[in-house]
Amino acid sequence: MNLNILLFASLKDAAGSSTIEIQMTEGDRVADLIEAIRRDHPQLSERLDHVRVALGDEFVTPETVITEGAELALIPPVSGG
Amino acid sequence: MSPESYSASLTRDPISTEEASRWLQDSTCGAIHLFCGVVRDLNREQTVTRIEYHSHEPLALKSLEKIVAGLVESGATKAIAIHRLGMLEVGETSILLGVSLPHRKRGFELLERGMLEIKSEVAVWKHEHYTDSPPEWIEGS
Repeated sequence: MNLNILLFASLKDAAGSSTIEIQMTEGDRVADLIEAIRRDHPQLSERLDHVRVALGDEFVTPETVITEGAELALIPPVSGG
Repeated sequence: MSPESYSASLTRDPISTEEASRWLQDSTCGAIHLFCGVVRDLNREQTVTRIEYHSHEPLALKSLEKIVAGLVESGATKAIAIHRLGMLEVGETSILLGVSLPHRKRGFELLERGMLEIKSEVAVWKHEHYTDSPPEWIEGS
């Protein structure tokens, strides 16, 4: 399955786009997604150690299983306030 | 805890402290605390001209709601948080956090706790603009 991953802040600039497309297979977890991004988008690699992943409006863990159509986003350390 | 006891929002319009203060009023409360975070003109020895606030809005709003609901669970009678998005000039309010409760002491503690949670959990990022160099993303640690 193909997933569009939302990017924000410095990740968006590093990728040159607000989304990237990643090919995943059924049963893959969030941790597998991070490794796939590291492999396919090496320019993002050094930032991936510090990101959290969101599914819709919730943060998820590395063990969360990804399903088709999931609205996933990479969340760099935040700086609001 | 009723839904009317807390309020969280993201806005591209200027934040009104007067409206927030009115919303926090309650006949049982002797204290209304408001904190406003404001865009300042200096950061890391660079002159800041303005800051653009970006967000993952559904995620940010959910986190903000959890934070103000938590403040009410911990003793606030009412709690409100409003985060501004878009381009802000120096002097504009970027965040308002407010609580009301019967007495003041707990209110100071809850405001500080709420701001720490906002700064670590809410999916908002500053894109700072400077007089002498290109804009930079500010990301927490």
